[in-house]
Amino acid sequence: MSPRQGGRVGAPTSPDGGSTSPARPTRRQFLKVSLSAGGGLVVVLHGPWANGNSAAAAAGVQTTSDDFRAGPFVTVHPDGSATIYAKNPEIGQGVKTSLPMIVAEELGVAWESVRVEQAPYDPDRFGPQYAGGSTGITTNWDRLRIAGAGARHLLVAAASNRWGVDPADCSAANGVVAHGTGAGRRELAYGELLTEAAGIQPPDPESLILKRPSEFTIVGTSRSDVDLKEIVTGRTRYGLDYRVDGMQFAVIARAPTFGGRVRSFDAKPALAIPGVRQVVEIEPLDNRAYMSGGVAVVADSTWAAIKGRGALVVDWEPGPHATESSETLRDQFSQLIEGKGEVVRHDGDVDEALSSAVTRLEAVYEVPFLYHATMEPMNCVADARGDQIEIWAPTQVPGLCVALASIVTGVPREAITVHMLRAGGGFGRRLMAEYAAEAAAVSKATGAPVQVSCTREDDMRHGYYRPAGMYRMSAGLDGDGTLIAWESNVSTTSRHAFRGDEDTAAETEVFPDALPGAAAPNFRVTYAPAETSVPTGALRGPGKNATTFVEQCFLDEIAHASGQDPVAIRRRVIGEPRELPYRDHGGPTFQTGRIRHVLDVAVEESGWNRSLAVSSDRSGARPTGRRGRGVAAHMMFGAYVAHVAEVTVANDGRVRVDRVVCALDCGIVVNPIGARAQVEGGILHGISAVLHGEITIADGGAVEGNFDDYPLLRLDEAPEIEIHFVESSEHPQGLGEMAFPGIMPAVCNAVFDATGVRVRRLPIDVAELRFG
Amino acid sequence: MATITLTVNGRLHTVDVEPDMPLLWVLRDILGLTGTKFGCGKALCGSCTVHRIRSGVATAVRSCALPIATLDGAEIVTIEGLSDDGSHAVQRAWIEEDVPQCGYCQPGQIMAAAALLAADPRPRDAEIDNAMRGVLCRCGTHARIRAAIHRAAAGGGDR
Repeated sequence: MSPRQGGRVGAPTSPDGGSTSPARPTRRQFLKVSLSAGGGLVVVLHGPWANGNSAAAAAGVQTTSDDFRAGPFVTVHPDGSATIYAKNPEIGQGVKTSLPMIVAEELGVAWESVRVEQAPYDPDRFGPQYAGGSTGITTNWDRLRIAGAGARHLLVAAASNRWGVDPADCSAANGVVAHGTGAGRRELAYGELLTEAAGIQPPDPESLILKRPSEFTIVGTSRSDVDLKEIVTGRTRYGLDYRVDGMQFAVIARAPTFGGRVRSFDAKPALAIPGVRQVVEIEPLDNRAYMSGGVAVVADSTWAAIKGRGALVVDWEPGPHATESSETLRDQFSQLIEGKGEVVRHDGDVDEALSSAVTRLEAVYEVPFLYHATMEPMNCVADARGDQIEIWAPTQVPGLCVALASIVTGVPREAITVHMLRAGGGFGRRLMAEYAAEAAAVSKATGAPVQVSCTREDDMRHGYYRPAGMYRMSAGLDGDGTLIAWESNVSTTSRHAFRGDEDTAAETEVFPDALPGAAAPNFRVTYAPAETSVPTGALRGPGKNATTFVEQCFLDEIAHASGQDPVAIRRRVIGEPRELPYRDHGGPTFQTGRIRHVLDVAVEESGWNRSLAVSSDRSGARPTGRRGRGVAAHMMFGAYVAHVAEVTVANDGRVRVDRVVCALDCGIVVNPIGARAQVEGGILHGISAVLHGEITIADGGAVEGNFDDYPLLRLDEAPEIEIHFVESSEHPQGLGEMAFPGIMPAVCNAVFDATGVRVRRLPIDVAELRFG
Repeated sequence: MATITLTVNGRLHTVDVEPDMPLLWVLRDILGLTGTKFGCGKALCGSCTVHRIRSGVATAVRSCALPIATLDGAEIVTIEGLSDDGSHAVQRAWIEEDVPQCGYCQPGQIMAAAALLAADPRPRDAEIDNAMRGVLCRCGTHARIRAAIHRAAAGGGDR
């Protein structure tokens, strides 16, 4: 029994990188106000969402109209409390708290009186809803302020009408409108003004007076995660915890080779396992990137499903890439970086400049496939009985869940509901949505609600990995040590190519406007995608998490080869404060003054010029190995980030990161404690990748299967972390991805400082660092 | 099938399940206690950590690798039973230090920390590292976990 396959998946690109740019309300919007059934004041922001359609399309949503209704974000209740919807998926990045903080700030209520509710997936009401590209804060900042300020405007107008005074003479804070001072002071609580406020003509959003940053009382203050108590008491329901009446549990047997498919299977041994109810085949989508199919075992419990799958006998057609391995891929990369790629950018004459350079360097760098390793494996609950589908998903892209569920079942998108559940980690993995396609397909086939879940081995061996790649780097300096030529010849397993997207394969893999290369007058970037069946996707700081490692380490090599300090060469490359064009995500400009400033802060706070001997590790014990310090600085999706890392390399080659200092300029910081958490997380994620992260390929499949052969950073490996945010009133940027890429080169540069051994291939090979 | 009787969070339960079913799946899929999380199935990540009580002493155990057949008559405490209302010293410290990001691993972290403090009310960093390195966190809450354990220790780890 197989579910119907409704058609080919088009090319829903994910909002995870280069194509997503911050949206601001640039066209007319208007506010609409009404009373809810419970007597609450509902304020709805209507009007076009700038870039809304492109962002929604990027999330896999086809919008029917340019005229989004945005809201209702705010309901003010008669008791003066407010309910604010959290519009985007929460995956641990903190937007369920920080986005409503923005609304509450302008609304003028005490944060303690706010109740936050997770919005359902309804982009016609809420605008684009996804978690990707670190865009949540930066693209919603203006529109959420308008939603809050519009409600405040109406409440102030209602009070001033009642008092017969000029609203400009009134103030609003903590849910109270006030007028006058001393004995003449009058106050009205928001809850007393709702009926009158609902009768007032809503203001033109462009006429609203938003607060000055100096007036903020919520934005810029630390607020705990709104789910904090639920989490520490175990009451939060993640995807795996969701239960529906009559729900069954399923796991899927997937082909051991990427690109493989079911030839035939024998369900009888599986059905003989107590608790197993059904065995159904799930056909792959035409574009396998979106669902690769397999055989689902459906049972009364997860354990019975796992045991049933163990007994299942499947004959697999291995597919066209069954002999692929990490070695065959490296051979491909090695050939493809020899100048055979597409020229993505060429300024000046690189060949001429390199041949005339006084100092010339070449080096080849490599990065492995990386696994996301969300602690909650992929899973989804779907109820596809009848002509409607209901989906409960920990996802970053509810829109893509709808699109894929519609394709695999033939049920129209309008009849599909997605509930966004708090996700046990995302990191870009949940920008794909095969779990929703699988759950919908299995539920449709069995006629019962089902939870499809992955074991750790399923999740690790059937991921969408950070692309592997190889980078041939060349640089030339003149007699003054000035960088006059830079060339990157790059080959990776492009995720655009994997998905068959129309965007060029290079787009997610190289960033030709980024420093340091773009600072060289003679500059060339070439790119050639490798042919592979290994699934790839976006992982935290996609593309950047490879190029930043390569470029910031190679710049360090250039510094040492030309007798320059690693900080001094960076200041030289960055140059005077100015705006450079930057056409990727985070642009349209690259502000060199901001990167220079965070570099200076990190250098100063780390004590760069002090001897490392005076430092000690966290426990105060004297370091017993070789110590070193390294630096990196780059722009990441519009934020400017610098890292200094200190390491100790033991005589047996093991690397311990002792201390990290990170300086960031991300504009206004909405929730400092949440912002720091994101930076801490990015740093530890990066250290984990540098020390341990690698998926290897053999016989057409992924070798590693669980945390014994794919280790993650453990508590005893975590360094001291110091974070410095630059005070700023610039438009806020996201933070989820910003601190991840730069820590990798900072650590590797520190390893070089300690040992004289240059790490050009990740993860770090301990054997190369042994001493004596 | 095996009939197993065990105490979970002070309540006696009798379950009729396959004898090799790990405690984790009994808790989650049979008893409906979903606060204990699945992470690896091989006692490698600690997300499934619960307490087994013997002679009144709580020991942290990985429920994903503990066949139910070995637990007849056992006493188990899960995150739902650590306190009624989040008032356990470790939970309070987790709140004060704003430890969680995604939060998925935190029930396992909290149960491991509570067992550590029950055995050693004033652990040093090295002892914390040693006791807690078995519970993975992917979001990077490591520093806050250390701080929260010190805070709970200073406030007196009850239980």
